[in-house]
Amino acid sequence: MPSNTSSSTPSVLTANLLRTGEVVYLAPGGRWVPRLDDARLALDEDERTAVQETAARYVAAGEIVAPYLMDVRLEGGFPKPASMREVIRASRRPTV
Amino acid sequence: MYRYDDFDHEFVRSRAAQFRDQVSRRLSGDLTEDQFRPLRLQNGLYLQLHGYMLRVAIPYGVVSSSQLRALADIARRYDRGYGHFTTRQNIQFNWVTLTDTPDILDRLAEVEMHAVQTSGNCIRNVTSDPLAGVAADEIEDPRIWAEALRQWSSVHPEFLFLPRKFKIAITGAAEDRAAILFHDIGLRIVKGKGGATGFAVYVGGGQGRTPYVAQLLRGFLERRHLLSYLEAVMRVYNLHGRRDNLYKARIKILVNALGIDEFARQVEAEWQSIDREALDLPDAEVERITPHFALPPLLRRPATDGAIARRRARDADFDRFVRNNTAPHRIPGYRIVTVALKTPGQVPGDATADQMDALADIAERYSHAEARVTYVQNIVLPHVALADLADLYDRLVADGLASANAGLITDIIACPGLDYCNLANARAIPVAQAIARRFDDPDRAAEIGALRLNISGCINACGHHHSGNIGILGVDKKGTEHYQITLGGSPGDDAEVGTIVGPSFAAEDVPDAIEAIIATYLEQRDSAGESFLEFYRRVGTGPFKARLYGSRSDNAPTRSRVLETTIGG
Repeated sequence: MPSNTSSSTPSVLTANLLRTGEVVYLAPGGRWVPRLDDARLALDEDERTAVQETAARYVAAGEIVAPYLMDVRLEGGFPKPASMREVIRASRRPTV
Repeated sequence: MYRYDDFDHEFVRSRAAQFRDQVSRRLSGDLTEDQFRPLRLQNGLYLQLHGYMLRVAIPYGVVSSSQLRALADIARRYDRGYGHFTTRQNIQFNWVTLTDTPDILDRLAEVEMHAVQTSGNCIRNVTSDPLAGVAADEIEDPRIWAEALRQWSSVHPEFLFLPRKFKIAITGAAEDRAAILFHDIGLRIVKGKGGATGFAVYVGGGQGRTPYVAQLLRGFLERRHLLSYLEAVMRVYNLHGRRDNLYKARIKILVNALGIDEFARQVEAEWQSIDREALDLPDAEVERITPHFALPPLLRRPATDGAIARRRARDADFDRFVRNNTAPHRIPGYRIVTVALKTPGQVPGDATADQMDALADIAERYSHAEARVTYVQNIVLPHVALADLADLYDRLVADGLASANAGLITDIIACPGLDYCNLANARAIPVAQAIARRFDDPDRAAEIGALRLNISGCINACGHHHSGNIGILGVDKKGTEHYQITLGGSPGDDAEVGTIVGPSFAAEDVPDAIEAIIATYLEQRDSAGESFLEFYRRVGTGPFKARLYGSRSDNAPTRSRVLETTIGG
């Protein structure tokens, strides 16, 4: 599974829903949510491995496609995108 | 324009039904994503930054009013109410779902459209001169051969899994308006000995990370041998193209590795060995296709119109529109009109569903229900009576489509960039908008004159930055969007790849940099008759570098803030 992360920063697992293509994030409890704020944080290697394994199960079940880990920074405990690409993706619309 | 026969209808309908079945098998789990991806790509369905994007083919850019209405209907029912006309004369819908796509393909099939081979390592939509069939400088209509190539390349069993994608462009006019020298194969209809027409065949052009201007492969090819000769070119490429390296897999790399003479020798040897009779287009098929492209019945009209001349004299905006956005038609009394999707501040190439419907109505009323999509992301109405120009213009004004800047600095090509594209490093659209707003004054744009300004959001160059007189390439510089400027590119008969002028600029500094480039040109040109490109070719990058970077020793941009955005949380 691709990983756009560095080991020292928190990560979130993102993907697209197979049926609609909608951008989603893995949340606690194995739910897929549209808001980055609601995503599950992976703070170390064990957690990163765990969310990737969870995502692989949903890929196999045909619920999501193109999962990958993305770097985030924390603001008030909430994950915020670390790159312009992920800012735009999380906003669910173009900037124009 | 070309109308499907029973075979074409059945082919497109069955292809849509096949994809419906493939989607169904994907959703049921019978196909994995790895198995499904090449199938969806060969039907034009990408997974992009925000979700699925469907690229619909507009063969050689020709589109009817009923097709425009169907595209508007798709935009409304299945998308967010708009579409994006691309540099390959196609249209992209950015917000479709996988589950809706089979219905969209059925809707397209109803109006003789499809998304076949708009992606994947196959021969893509053949592009052509948007003024084909009506241009005053045309030798012969290229659409007959573009249509033949569309049929030949559609599910051609040998060429569906090429080393890489393959793009063909064809023109029949004296002036190249299809950028044929930046295509894998460029075809130009020329006159040979005795006046018979044939093709000059160019090969190995392209943009992307390794830009090349195509080289002449054969100066004159008899018309009847077009398909067998291209078959030979494709076979040499298919055999020797670099399948081991994505970045070296295009035919331009092969042609330059072998040298044009050796490549031509191999093509000739292949061509001599194959059964041309079996491969060439039968005369009967040429005769079947040709009448589809006959001019519509255009009534004889006077070559001048007093009412139009008087309106031009009293209405500067209308006069500007006629001057910049219309061209001579081969029939006196008619004009070819460009509807520029480039109102300063709009997204280049975007059209709303309402605008597509309006264009359909306008084309029906004023242009025999026909329009063209240009590779510079505009729409052409090919058959407008001179006497109708004022009425047409007033209608375009009412629909927000009367931007009178075709061919000027604000007629910017821009790829979707990081706002939509999975491959992009930086945004292209907001930079285009900022530049267009900066040069919004029509008198100033007129003073600057003909200028091609192109922006790409990554090195793949969908925004044709290499061939812009001014080209802008978005790059990721330590996590921020920066923009590299090239000068001197040209897409036409004098095709050339632009030269990088110096270090890149932060996004908010780009309009000032363009301002400095334009000021340099305006202050130092020989006369108002010396175009930007002519000036650049005379002086090179020197004066521009001096203006842009001065005596700075670090030669680095002064600021590095990212673009201000309106993104919320």
